[in-house]
Amino acid sequence: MLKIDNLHVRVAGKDILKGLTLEVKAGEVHAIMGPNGAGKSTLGYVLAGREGYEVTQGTVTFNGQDLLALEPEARAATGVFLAFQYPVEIPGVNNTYFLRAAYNAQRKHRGEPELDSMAFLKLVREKLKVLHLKDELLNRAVNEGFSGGEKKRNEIFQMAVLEPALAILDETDSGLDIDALKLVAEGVNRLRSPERAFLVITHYQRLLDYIVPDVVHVLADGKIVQSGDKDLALKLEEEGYAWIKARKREEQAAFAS
Amino acid sequence: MSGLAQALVAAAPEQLDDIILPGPRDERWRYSTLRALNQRTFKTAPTASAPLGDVLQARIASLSPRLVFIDGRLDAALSDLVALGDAVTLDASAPPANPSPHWPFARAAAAAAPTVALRITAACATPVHLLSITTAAAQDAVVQQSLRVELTPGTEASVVHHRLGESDGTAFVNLWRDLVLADGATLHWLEAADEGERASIVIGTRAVLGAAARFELGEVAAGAALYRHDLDATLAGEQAELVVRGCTMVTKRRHADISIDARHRAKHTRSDIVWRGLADQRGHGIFAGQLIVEEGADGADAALSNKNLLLSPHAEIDTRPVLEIYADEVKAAHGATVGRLDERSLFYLRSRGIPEADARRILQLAFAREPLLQLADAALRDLALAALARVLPEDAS
Repeated sequence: MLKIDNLHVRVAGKDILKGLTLEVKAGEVHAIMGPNGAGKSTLGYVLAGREGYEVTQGTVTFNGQDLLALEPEARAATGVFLAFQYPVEIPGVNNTYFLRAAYNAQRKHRGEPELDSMAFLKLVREKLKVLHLKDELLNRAVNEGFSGGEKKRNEIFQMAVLEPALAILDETDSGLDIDALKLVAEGVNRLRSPERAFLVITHYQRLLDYIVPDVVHVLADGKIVQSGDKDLALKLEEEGYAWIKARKREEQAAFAS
Repeated sequence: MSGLAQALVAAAPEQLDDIILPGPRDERWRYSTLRALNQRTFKTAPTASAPLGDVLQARIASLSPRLVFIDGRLDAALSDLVALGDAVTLDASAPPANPSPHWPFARAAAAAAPTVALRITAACATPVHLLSITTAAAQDAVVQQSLRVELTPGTEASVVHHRLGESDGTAFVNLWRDLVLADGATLHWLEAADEGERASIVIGTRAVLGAAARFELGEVAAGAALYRHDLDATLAGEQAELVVRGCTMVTKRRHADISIDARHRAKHTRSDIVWRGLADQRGHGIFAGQLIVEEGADGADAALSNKNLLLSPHAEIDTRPVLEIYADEVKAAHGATVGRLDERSLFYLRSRGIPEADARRILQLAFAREPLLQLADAALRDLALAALARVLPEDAS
C-alpha cells in the first residue's frame, strides 16, 4: 500500500530524514518509535503534504501512485489521513460543517455522490455512538476550547468518519492520561481492518500496549535503524534509546575495524 | 469650492458658507481621499425621482414594517409602519439636529434635507426596515438624507438599514442620522451593504445614550469607491452601554473606512467594540476606534479589538486604536492586529480533503462571522450573516 524508498527531507535548510525506507501493507499496523528530533513528526507531515517539507531525494508511492506529486487535499481523497500531534483550533468553523465539507470534498474528488446534511448527520451520529462520544461535539467549533484529550479524540472521530485507507497517528498518546489513552486506542482498534493500514508514531511504548503493532521500527537520526515485532518496543522501553545509540556505535566501530 | 462641495451646500449656501470638506492633511480622513470626487461635477438632489424597477419594487414590498427614502426624501406612500401601531410616530419635517462643526457632511445633510423624525414610544416586536434608495434620477447627483430616531424611556427597537440603488453608483450619497436613547432604552441597529463598486457614500451616525440605555451596532461593510461611516456615541447617562460588532470585507478596488468614537461621559459606562477586517485583491480597509473616557466617568469599562487579515499583496489595511483617558478607576483595553490567513489552519483543512480555495473561504468566513454571531438581536444577526454571505459566498463552486 505505502512504499517509502530512500526518502530524504529537508526542513528550513536542515536535513531531517536521511534515507528512510519503509513498506506498509494493507491491514498492517506499523509503529514508528524514536527519540525526540529523530524525524518522526516530519515523516507524518511529509506524507500528508505540508508545505515547507522539501523532498530532496527518494520516492513515496501509495497504491502505486506517486504520493509526493499530489496536493494535500488529493492525498486525503486517495485515503491518507494524518491525526495531528497538535490539532489546530479553528474558531467560527462548526465541527459538523467542517467534517461534511471534508467528507463531501473527498467524495467529489473520487467522483462519488455527495451526502446531504440529513444523511451525513445520521452517519456521524453512528460514529459518535461507536466511539462513546457526546453529541455536543458536533455543535462546537473545530477543537476550540477542547482539552488535550478531547482534541485527540476528535482526531480519531474524524478518522472514523472519513474512513481512510492509511491512517498516520502522530503522537496521538502525548498529553493523554491513561483513561483517555484507552479510549483513543479503543477507537483505533475498532477501525482496524484488512483494507486499512496504520502508521502509529509514538515516543513511548505505552500506547502499543493498547494498539498492538505488527511491526515496530526505530527511527533515529532520519532513518530506520532497527525493525522487529512488538517485543522490540518492550526492549526499547526497558533499555531506553541510549541502547540503540550504543548499538549503532558498536556497529560503526566494527565496520571501521 | 469643488463641484462636490457646491452641490452639498447648494440647498443652504448661507448657512454652510464656512464648510470645508476634509483634505489630505486631515488626520481622520487620511486614508479616504476625496480627490477623485472633487474633480467631478455633481448636480443637486433631483426633485423628482425616476420610476423604480420591478426587482427593487418587489424587494421593497418584501420588507415590512418599513420607512422608505427615495433620493433622500421620505416616501410616505411606499413606507408602511402599520404593523407597529401606536408604538411609533413619524414627523416628516422635524427640526434638524445640529451635528458638531467637525462633521461637514452631517452639517450639509442636516441643512439640505428635511429632517425626518421617528419616535419610538413602545417596544417594537419586529425590526423596522429603513430603506435609502437612489433612483436613476440621482445619477451624478448629491443625495442627502437627515434622520432622527428617538426612543422614549425603557423602550426597545431594532432597525435594519438597507442601502439600495439604481443610480448606477454615480450618485454621492450623504446620510446623517441622530439617535437619541432615553434612560433604559435599547436600540439595535444593523448597517448592511449592497453598494456597487462605483458608489460613493458617507454616513454619519451620532448616538446619545441616557442612563442604562444600550446601543448595539452591527455592520457588514463591503466598501465602495468611497465608503465612510462615522459613529460618534456618547454614553451620557450612568451605566449606558455601547456594543459594536462589525466586519469589513473589501475586494477589487473597494474602500471602506470605519471611524468610531465612544465617549464615556458618565460613571460606570461600558463600551465594547469588536471589528474584523479582511482585504483582498486591491481592497483597502480602514478602521479607527477612539475610546474617550472623560473626566469624572469613573468606573468606565472600555474595550476595543480590531483584527484584520490581508489576503493579497496588493490589499491594504490601516488600523488605529486610540485610548484617551481623563478619569481615574477606569478599565480599558484595546488591541489591533494585521495578519495573514493561518497556514496551519489552512493545512489542517486541506489535510482532511478540503480544496485550498474552499479552505481559504471557510477560514475567511469564520473570521468575519465571529463578531456578527455575538449580536444580541437574533433577527439582526441572521440578516447580518446573510449580508456577509452575499459579500463572501460560502460555496465557491
